Amino acid sequence: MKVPVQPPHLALRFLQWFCPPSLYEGIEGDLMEAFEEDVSRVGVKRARRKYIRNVFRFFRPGIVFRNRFLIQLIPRDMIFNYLKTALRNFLKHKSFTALNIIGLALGMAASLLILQYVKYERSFDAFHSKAEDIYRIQYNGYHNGELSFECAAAVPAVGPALKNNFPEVKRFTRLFPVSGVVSYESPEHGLLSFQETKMQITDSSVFEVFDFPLVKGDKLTVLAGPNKVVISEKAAKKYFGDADPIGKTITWNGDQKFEVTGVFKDIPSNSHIKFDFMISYPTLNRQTNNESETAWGWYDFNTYVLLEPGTDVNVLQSKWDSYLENTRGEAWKKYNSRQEFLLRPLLDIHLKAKLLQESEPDELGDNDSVYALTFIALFILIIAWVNYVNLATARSFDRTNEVGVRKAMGAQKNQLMYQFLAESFLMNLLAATIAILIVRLAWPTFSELTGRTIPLDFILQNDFWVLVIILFGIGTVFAGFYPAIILSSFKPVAVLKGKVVHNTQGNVLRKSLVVFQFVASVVLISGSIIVYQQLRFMQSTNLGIDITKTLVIKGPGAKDSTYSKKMESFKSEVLRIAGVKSMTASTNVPGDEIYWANGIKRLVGGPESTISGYSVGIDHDYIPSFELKLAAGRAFDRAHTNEAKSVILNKAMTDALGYKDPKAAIGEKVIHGGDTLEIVGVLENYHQMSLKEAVGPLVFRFSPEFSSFYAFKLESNDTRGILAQIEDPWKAFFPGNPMDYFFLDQFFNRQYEKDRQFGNVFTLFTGMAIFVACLGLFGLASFLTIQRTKEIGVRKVLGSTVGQIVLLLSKGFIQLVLIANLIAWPLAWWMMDRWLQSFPYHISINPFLFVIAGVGVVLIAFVSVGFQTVKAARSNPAQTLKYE
Amino acid sequence: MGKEYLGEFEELVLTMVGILQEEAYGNAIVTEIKERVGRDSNLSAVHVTLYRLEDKGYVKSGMGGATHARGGRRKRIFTITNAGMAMLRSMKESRMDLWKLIPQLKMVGY
Repeated sequence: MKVPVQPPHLALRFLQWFCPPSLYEGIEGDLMEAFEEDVSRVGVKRARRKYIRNVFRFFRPGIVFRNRFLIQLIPRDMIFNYLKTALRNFLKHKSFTALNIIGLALGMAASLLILQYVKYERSFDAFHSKAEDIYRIQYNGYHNGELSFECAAAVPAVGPALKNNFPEVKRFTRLFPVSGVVSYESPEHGLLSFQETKMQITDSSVFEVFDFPLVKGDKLTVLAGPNKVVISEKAAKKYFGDADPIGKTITWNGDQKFEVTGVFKDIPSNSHIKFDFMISYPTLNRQTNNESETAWGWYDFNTYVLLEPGTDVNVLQSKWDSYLENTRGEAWKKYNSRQEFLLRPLLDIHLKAKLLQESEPDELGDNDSVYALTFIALFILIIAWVNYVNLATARSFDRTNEVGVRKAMGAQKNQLMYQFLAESFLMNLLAATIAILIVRLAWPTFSELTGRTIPLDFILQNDFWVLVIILFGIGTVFAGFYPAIILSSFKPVAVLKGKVVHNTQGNVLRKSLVVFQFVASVVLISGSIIVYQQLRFMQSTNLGIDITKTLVIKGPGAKDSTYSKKMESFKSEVLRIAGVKSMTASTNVPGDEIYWANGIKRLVGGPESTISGYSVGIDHDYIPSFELKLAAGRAFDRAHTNEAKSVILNKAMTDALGYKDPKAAIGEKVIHGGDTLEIVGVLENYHQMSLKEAVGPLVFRFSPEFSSFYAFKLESNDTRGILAQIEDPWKAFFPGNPMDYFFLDQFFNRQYEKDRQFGNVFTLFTGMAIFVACLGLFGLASFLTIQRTKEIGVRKVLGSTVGQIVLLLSKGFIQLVLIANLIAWPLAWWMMDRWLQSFPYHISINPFLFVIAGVGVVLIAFVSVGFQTVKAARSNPAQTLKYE
Repeated sequence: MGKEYLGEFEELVLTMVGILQEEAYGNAIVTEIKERVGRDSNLSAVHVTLYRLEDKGYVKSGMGGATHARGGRRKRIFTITNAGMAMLRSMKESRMDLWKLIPQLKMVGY
């Protein structure tokens, strides 16, 4: 025979790879034979090509899956054996099995919970089918070249300008938030009226841009024409019960009548904007003489545009910027200002936008906290896996004999690996089951803790199970692999001779894993302490304003020309009630976002440009009632009759206006909102909003006629009684207006609600992480202690005291925990300092805190290790030594 | 379960195994099919069919002796089992029964 021509090597390798070994020889032979025949018939080149084609033809289920089938077929008996021995092993070491399973289950449950929460946070607004192509217009206002505000609401003229000049803009829609008293004369229940805060005046295109499905009514016509309203299912139930709302008439603020033309499905909880009423846009246009179509200065309109799919937003933005520059440049120059209208993705709003006039400012999420939580979830999971690896390798000592015997009986290394993987499979399976149970049971509590009521069916979807399977798979393979390698690599001869193979590599790994666990624990502990300290700091800092014992009632919706008079009479009635110290009416109360913004400028001197600041309309009693401190001048006073020409500023404002001290400002004239006013008083800076915001310049105007909040200072604790007594004059003076009340301190502190929830969640999972880490340490300590039982016995016989032995046994662990502390402190300091920087008023980190966290962790570690070591140290040496 | 059913190609391959006796292995069957029926069949398809027949218990296989051809690889020789023979026979009989029921053939016949 001539030198044989070889078939293509790679194809052969491929065949080898997929072909079941039992079939391989026959198939290869047949292929070879066909190849040899082809070589002589059609030549080497074509024969090789045909060979490759033939190999690929063998790559078919009928061949490939026989492979798996056979593998299952052959070691099936062994798999049962593996599972049986695994189960026996579990039962033999019940406490360790329990430690392992609990640790793994907690780790999985924690990360499942957190990842579901993260998923929810990321799901905001994604329910709109065109969400990817919807952008909200963010309004950035510049004064004198400096950015003075970033606002979620734009001016009404922006939408039409975009739509009419840029073909990529398919549609725009505007939502103008309003509130007020809605009433309905029900044939059965008489007059129903409620304060409604969730109302929007909307373009009818809202149904084209967003997916707010209508249950009743046609989306093309429901909002066409003035005085039409579409209500949510919830509102329909509230006002009309089971009756059909279509065609009914509701009254808004006493004088405006609306026809209900449609009902929309309640807005899902993961929407950044929520409302119960949609009022037709032509209503507003009629009232404002079309200002609400053309105005470029009135920024109260949440504006969204729907772009053609595939539009490059950056290109559109730059075209739009130059369009604005060309058309608005003149007007800007006149006011020394500039306007920027940015297209911002709808999907980014919930986690990334923190603008003024957000629709649901208290519900906004925070990207950083979502990341922080994701990290914690990973930490806990890794800690749990590390536990498993640590315990399993520590136990390898226990099982050397078993491995030795199995090897001597002919077990292959990979068979042993299968065996240990089977164990980790079983362990993870049990843990996953428990984890699912925990998630299912803990969900309501957890979802409440996060402050988001996330429905359970949100989590029990396919991707949840996929996640479970992924965690389970990673746990089985990765956590199981290392111990499997270690255990299966013992040399049978050495093992059976009784030589204990001390694996120093394994020791180093185990130690670094323990260090890692405790670095994570210390970082988490000091983190949660700092989060709480910052929260306490924000809630306990003197605001400069007294908001305690303050009851607030929302002012009546309808205001007519007699309103100021009625309010004064109401006030004198209320002040007669025992327990009411004072009452003040104002446009805003502390903690309520101010929407009234105006430019202010000195009549003579001062900075050239106008300063923009928020304005509060107050009455005579606001300053004494809230115990605000005057830096100079006086408060609004009944003795002065022309207070409408006076103004009070805060110190931040006089500073901004360039007065060298508050006294210098008194008697000066300023122009505010077109009026020339005399500064009569300057207030010391106080926190109108939470400590999460820097104190800004404020303007106080005397305008009780616009007041929408009545704040009552109470002297007695009988709020129920006082409320009942206020109700009579309220009904007498403001009939048809519901009396909605709240307590100012609670209202103010709700600004910290999100931070508090974050703190709670953070602490909960910190606790879990530490618990899981301690479980691991506990298990590790007890195993290593058991290994040294004999040594302890000998030491005791030779005269060691219990204390010495405990020290000896714990020393190693405590050393590791101390090292962990040294690594964790700078890490925690760096991370928490970054977090604190996001608050304008924040605590400084006290280094002593790390010592506390460190000592705490050392103590916890000592307790979990000590439990075992003390037991071992106190054991009677006669007992432990007599079997040798 | 009802009676096992053989596909057309399965039946063909099984028949070839019966015909070839000691020489029934993958390549030989491909050639035999080509020669006797004039049909091109794919080696991998024949293999898969053989393994399926083996699963069903109609053939059994064993490795033949080494030769110098085929790069020294042994052949996997298939032999038909009694069950396989019975299957072939019953299929032939049921086909004959059906055959007889076609009327015009009776008239043309002897």
